[in-house]
Amino acid sequence: MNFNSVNKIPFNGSDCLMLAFDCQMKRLGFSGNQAQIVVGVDGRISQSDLADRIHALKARFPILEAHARRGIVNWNPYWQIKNGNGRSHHPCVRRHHAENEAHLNRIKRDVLNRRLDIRRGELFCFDLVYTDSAQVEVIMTWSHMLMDAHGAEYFLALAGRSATLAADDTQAGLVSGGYTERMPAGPKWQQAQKSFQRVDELASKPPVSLYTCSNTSLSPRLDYRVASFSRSQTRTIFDLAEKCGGFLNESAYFSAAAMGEFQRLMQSRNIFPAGYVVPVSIDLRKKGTRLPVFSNQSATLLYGFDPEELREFDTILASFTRQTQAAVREDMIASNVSAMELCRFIPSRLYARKIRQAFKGEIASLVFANPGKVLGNLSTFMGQPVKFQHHVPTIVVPPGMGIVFYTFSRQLYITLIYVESMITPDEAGGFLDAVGRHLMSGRLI
Amino acid sequence: MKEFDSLDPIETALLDFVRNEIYDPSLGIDAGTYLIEAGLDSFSLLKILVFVEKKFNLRIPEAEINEERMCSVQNIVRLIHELQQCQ
Repeated sequence: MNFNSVNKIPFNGSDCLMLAFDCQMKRLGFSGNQAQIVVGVDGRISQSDLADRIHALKARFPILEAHARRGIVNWNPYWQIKNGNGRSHHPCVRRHHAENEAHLNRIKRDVLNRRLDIRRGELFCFDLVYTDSAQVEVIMTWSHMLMDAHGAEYFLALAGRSATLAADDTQAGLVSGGYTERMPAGPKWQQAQKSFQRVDELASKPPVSLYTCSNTSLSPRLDYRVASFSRSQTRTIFDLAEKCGGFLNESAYFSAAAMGEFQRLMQSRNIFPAGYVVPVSIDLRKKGTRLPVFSNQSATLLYGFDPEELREFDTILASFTRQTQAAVREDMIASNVSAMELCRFIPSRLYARKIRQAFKGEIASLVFANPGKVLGNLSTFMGQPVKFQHHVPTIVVPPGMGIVFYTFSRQLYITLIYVESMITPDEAGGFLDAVGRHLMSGRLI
Repeated sequence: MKEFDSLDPIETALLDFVRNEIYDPSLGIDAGTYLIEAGLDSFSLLKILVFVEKKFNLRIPEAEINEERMCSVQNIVRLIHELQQCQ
């Protein structure tokens, strides 16, 4: 398929959900539903070399400067690819110089809170932050409507030349396609209903977010903290995860540490919700493939916890595992995909609206993600060794707080992201320290 | 060494499911492929367990869900045969 003939690519259901969250965040004054990958490179990278590389990729994949549009009749969102691609000045590759660590953190916070100009085709940008220690941090910020973290990782590897494009990797092969302009037929409605019923079940004990409870004076800015573990600590954590939670069940183990500590934080603020709700993203790509790249390929499973369940590590672990098993048995992943498919045809993005209505304005208590191992082959970027890699998603508000676990180069990293001033940087650091202690001991301590 | 016929219907069905529903078909997963190295995660493992349960009416005990038993289609098939013999 010749991509030059494609000028309109419909959003899939998951893209539409990301669009709904983008609108929600912008309504509240935040930069939008964006995400970042931060790569620490041991050496110097030229701003112009990176810009050249990005523009070469843009010429090959014009979706990288597509404009988000809606159908006139059905209001369905789609990417419009204009003629004369590759000529816009997007994406920007900016450079900064950090004088010290505090300055570096300030720059990174500002970059995180900068709004991409999606209407003008700015779907991603790069920031190079140079320090005096001959290192550079490469920050790629992208609009979540365009692609998810797995797609972004692959794209970043292409930009850093760590991944090789096959000769037949055209844009058509890297986007999700095959979507019709017609409403899905009967079985999809029925499947989607299961997903809506799950929301209703959880709504009997609705979550309350920290953001809603402290909303009066919060500025619409996000901040984050990252914790890292050595290789031997990571090995210990994964061994404990298998021992306590079972084979390949580390998501439950991580969730137990995060949710146990989150309840403690809520209690310290005298917030006692009837229930806690945590959305977990599931990558829909088949194992062994990074394709499609320019698309969101995820379903969301909602986990509900009673406050009593969150008092002990073992009970959280058991509850998470039980809910995962039930979700797979009841095919809740397919149900969620169907529910999101319906989102494409309803201007207010039905699924997101359904959650907000059922949970009385909340979306979740806390966002949790465990994307697993980040792209293994990003060991070098533009020929320079990569020292670390961080994922920094912006977190939908409310809840305005999320925690992401990922492994890079056999080291576990945790990013805690939150609305600035909702919790203090010290509280965020304390939260991450506590989660680390729980993980290293296999219990809430 | 395999202790069962290579045209074993259990292996054929399981391999077909794993090859097409769990992994990218272009990977060409075979019975001996090390599944964990090829990206198996908790959800994929659960899908395999639910498939075995529904297709062969056999629930794999938790004690048997470990790296050694689950590392390849060949090993899972061997486990299924053992469990069937015990029934």
